[in-house]
Amino acid sequence: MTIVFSLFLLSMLVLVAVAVLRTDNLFTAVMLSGVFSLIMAANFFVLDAADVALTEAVIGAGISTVLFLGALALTSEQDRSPPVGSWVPLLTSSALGGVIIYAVMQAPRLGDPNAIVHMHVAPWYLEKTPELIDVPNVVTAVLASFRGYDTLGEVFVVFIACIGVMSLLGRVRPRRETISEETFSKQSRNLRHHLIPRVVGKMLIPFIVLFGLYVQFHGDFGPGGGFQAGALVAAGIILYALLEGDTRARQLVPEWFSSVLVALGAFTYASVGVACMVMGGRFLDYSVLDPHDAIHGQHLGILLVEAGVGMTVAGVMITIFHAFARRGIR
Amino acid sequence: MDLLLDIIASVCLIAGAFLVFVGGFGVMRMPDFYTRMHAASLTDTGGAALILIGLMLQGGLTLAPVKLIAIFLFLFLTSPTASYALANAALLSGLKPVCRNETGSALPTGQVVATGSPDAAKPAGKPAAKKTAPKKTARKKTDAKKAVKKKAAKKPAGKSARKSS
Repeated sequence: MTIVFSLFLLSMLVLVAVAVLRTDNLFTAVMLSGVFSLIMAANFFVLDAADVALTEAVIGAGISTVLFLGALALTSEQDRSPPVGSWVPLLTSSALGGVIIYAVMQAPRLGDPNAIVHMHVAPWYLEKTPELIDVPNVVTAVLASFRGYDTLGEVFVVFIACIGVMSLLGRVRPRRETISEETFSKQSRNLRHHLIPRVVGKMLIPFIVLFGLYVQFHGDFGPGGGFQAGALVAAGIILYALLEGDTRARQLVPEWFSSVLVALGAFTYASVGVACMVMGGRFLDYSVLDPHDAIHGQHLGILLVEAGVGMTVAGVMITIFHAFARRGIR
Repeated sequence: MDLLLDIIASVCLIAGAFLVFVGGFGVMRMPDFYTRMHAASLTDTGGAALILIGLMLQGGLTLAPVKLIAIFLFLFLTSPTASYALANAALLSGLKPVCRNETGSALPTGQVVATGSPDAAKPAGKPAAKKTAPKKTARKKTDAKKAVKKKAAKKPAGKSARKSS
């Protein structure tokens, strides 16, 4: 049954990908890429990767669709790239595709116990997590503790990406002087005159943020963690911005706040590592955080680190969204 | 007692699946955007509700039915809102409902059906089913709009889709 379902999902994936390529209308392409992400999330879920599925659904289908639409509002809806007659792109992509297909043929079967990934460190992680860290969700243990360096790197990649996007889009200071009526009506381009989406959206926002916090703090026990939670909280605030307009959203979460959040999250993560060194351990070795109980120290370290990840991700999403929205107004 | 519960659950599930199927069929066959949306709403409300009730009955006294109730409430609030936003955006951008004439539909139905993505995306998990439905119709609408009026203002469409995403 799972096989049938996977086959179905994968063929849908290919169909949607071809449709994205073939359409001229960029709005359609954006919507279809959202659909693509949702199917991908379902696929991950079938493969029992609930953490990845959650991330894909929130970021791929939710926030990146909104960001694409924000970018689309700055340009036109039609794809104007001229039809290229060159053979180079076709050759490049088919060569690359051929290499990937050849590589896939060599890959082990799904769930093969003798696959190389299952022979290397994975059994050690599965065996030692209850003993060393004692959290039910091994993914969180691997992500935040065993491979804490990698996650630190990821957080800093997100941080640097945010700096890059902001320097591309420009940080214009919001004007303080009184604005004319016309600019105001232009700035409040939103859904405020649509009563039903506003009311329902406002009803949902607290629950979205609450679910984000649940995912944040329940990450040790179930699928979730800082990345997913940050994206969920940001999605709640972006929904508010779509309903009430960017001006009001910037009153709710001021721009300095989201920027500070980005830096503070990365800083929290790194300073937990430094604190471990100060307390006599190695960098990001949480066991020393509690001198009496190593496992409790691990729990504390994971909690703090995940909080840092969540802050950075939420801050980055909100900052980038605001940057796009402000460009749209001007 | 268990047998009775199973029978009720199966009836709910089969009826829900039937409604989803009919909804998909209607999306393919109906003549214009508004009637298509009407067909799709059958999937969103009746189909989803019956399937969720069937699953709740199968779940027993665990946490699963509570989660299903939460999903049900979420769908109950969001899918009518999404339908409203879609229809409103279509009306504001100048898409007129098709009225009956002697030959049948006035829209190039075949073209729209051909470009619409197959509705097979529906059984792809609960949230996926919920989300693809409005998006798919949104896409269909832009196609239909392209067919009807090339330079129709498309801003509201973007907004409604942004909201539903």
